[in-house]
Amino acid sequence: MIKVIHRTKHTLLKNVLLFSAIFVPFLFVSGCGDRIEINDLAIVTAAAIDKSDNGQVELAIEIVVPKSIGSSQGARGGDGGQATTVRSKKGDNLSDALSKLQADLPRKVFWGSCKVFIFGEGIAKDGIQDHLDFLVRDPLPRERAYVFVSEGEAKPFIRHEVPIERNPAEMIREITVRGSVIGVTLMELDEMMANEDYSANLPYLTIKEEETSDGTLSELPNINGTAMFRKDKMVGVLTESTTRGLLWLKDRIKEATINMTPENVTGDISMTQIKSKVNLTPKISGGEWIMMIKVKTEGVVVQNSTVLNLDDPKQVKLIEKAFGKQIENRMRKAIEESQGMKVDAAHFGKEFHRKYPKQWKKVKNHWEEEVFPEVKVEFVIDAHIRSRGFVDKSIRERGSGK
Amino acid sequence: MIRNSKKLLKNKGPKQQSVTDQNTKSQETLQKDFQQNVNMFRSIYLDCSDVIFRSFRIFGQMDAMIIYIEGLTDTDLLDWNVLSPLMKMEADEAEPPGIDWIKNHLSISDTKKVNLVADCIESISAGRPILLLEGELYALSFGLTKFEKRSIDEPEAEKVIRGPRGGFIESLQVNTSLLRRIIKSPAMKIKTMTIGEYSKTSVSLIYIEGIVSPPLIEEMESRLKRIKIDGVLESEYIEEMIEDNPYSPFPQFLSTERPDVVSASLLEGRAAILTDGTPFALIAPVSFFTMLQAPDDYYDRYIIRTLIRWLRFVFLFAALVFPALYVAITTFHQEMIPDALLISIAAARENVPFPAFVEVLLMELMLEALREAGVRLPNQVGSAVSIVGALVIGQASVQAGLVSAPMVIVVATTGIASFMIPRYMFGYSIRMLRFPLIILASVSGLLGIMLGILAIVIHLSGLRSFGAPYLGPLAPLKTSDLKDVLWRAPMWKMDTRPHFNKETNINRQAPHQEPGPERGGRD
Repeated sequence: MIKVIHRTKHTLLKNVLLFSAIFVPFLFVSGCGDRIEINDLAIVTAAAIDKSDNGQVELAIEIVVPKSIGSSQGARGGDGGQATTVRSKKGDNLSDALSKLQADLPRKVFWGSCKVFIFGEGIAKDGIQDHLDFLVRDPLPRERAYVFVSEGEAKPFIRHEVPIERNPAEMIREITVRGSVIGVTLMELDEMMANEDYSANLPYLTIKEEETSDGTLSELPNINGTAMFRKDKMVGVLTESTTRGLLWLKDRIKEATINMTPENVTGDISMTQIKSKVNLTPKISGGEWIMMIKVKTEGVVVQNSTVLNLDDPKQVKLIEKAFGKQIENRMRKAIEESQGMKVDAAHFGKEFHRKYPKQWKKVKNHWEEEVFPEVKVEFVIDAHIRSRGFVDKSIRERGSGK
Repeated sequence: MIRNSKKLLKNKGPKQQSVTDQNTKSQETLQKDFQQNVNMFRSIYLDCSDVIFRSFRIFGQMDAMIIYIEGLTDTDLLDWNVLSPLMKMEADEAEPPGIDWIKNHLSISDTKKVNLVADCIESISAGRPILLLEGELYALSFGLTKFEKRSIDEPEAEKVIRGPRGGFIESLQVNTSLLRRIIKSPAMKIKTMTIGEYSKTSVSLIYIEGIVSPPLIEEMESRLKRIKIDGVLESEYIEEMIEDNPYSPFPQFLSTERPDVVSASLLEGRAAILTDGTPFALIAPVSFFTMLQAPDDYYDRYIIRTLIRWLRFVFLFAALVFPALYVAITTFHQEMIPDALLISIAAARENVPFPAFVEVLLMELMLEALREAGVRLPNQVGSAVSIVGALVIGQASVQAGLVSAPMVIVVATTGIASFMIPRYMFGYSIRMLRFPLIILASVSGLLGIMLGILAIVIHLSGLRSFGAPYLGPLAPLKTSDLKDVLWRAPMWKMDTRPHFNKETNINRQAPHQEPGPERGGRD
């Protein structure tokens, strides 16, 4: 049955009273406190943290200057103004420096768009834990921002004018996202620091000189290797090629082209790895700590300057072997170098901890110093060629064939 | 002067009362005395120059008088079929001439005997001429109504790409005939009553017996009869007098100019109210989702129409909250904006002197003003308004730095979104409600928007349209009715009618009618 509700005369009054009882106090209580217009924000895109005199830190931030980005007419702002500007202040710690920075800025510092934090080498060697505390404790800096260590001072790195991208921060971040380096976010760094099994490593920035179109040299920030940390102190740098080995080992590689020369052949073959899976299996036998590294990988041949015929399974085997060897060499180098630095960059400790918790307990206090450098590594590599591209034999071979 | 007019106003109340009393002397009947009757009508229609009194003699001996209103009656037919035969008739010796004899000898299909004076007046007002006869207690009323009316056009506000193009016009008779042309079953009932003390407007309550729930019709009839008003010029007059919650911003009737929409609603078990003098029919009970169903939805492939319906839902939401979201996010939650967009907005806003809230309010009010101005203006001037709107308000204000370009996009999107709502009146409600949401958003960001939406949803949950929950069939949930709400099920799937009146015939069609080649001929 349809029920028809006859409203009483007081409904309106009741509704109005109810509504005002809920909403009117709410209007006063909230009081527009957090309200801030976008053009009152100083949008930070990158922050550089450096060591200063007398144990102070210097915080430099790269701020977007909206008015130079482009007027509302749609035209680009012209070459006159940089799209960003850098301000810096020294302070006892990060928050102190920041509050001094804020005091001098006409706009409120906005961390929401800051995706890049760079620690200078000096401060990284002294330890970054205390500074990290501010970055992860304060709700404003993004936990998904990337952290880097720079060669020398960090501040110049956010000052450079860069081609292609809008600003240096954007450029550094985009390179990281592309996957040819291990990007480490604030959150990941925090986890690494807090974890007893392994130490942190951060991408290492250097300045590279590149020739610009008008022939002059310009300095560009460039990710070049990995800064290795033991606990929170930086102890060394892995070179770029070793870093790639580490990337393979950590399964973080997204795109890699490998050049190799198979045995007893002249010329070389380039392959792009398209799939890679790394399995770490720890083993303790007779007091010897061994790490079994199983790699399953597939690649596509992109260039072939040898006489090998890719339609011949035997010759393909040869290439696959060389491919596997190449990967093994890279990984081995990365492990050896990190063992030399006594930094467990590939996080072997985590695997041992999982499989041998009891043995781990005994060594956990001197894992990186004593046990890790002695860990033996064994490789089982399963490399395959998925595709040979559009041609079978190389041009040279086809030309001389008949 | 002013004082006098005030006095007049004061006196209006009781005076009106007395006129009303005079009009409601409904039980008075015609008298035997012909002259007395004529005098009475002459006094009733004193100073009504459009009322024609034509006296003549039947058989050269019997006094008679025809009363009709000029322009409402087909005088050709009256002359040929009433006056001419009566005047030329020779008295039949055998039978004494009387009203029944005359009635039987006039070739007019619609002829009624009326006895009450009130009925006579109603008949004359409706364009039916009255024939008064000497010595008779009854008068004859002939169905010779004819007046100028508009042709049947496609409704301007409810156009369809595919579907019937006819729309209602201002004549109730034509409108009911349009409905009868669609639903031919005698189960479709049309109950007509007169509302309006002076306008005497005919209002028809239309429903299909056996589909509609009887209590609904009882309730509607009693609410219609409760109306005491001087005139009904449009169905909105009726709507406001009988709706469930008069303080709600949401329409509780579906108003439409389309006979096919009315028929579809009747078939779903709803009732329609047609008002003479307006092409707009009222349909009840309706729900929130009825307002989002366009006639096109049923005249095109269901897959496409389902997608379009979803698009409509999205834009309904956009029309309601988009500007509020913009204000909330740009002034409270900048972290939610992607970096590149944030920087573009910052760059665009750099020279804008107003806070985002004022900017939004300015532009939204401008949009509403433009829309309202566009409705009023004649077509020739209408294009000028759109030029002024697009160029001056849009481009120039951005170039002058009064508002930012993203804001223009937000406002324009909202405008387009609000016009996607198929029911214009419902679109008004949504458009109106976005203003409080903008204010709430500027006071406390997303929290404010949530509270605003919450308040709207609470209101909607309590709202009923003639007893049917306004949020039905979503709340209370009736899953089988969702077939015409969240998506548009194919015709062969719509086996049941909406469940808001479940005591009547719920089955719309035979089940399992999914077509396929193997069914041809065998089933």
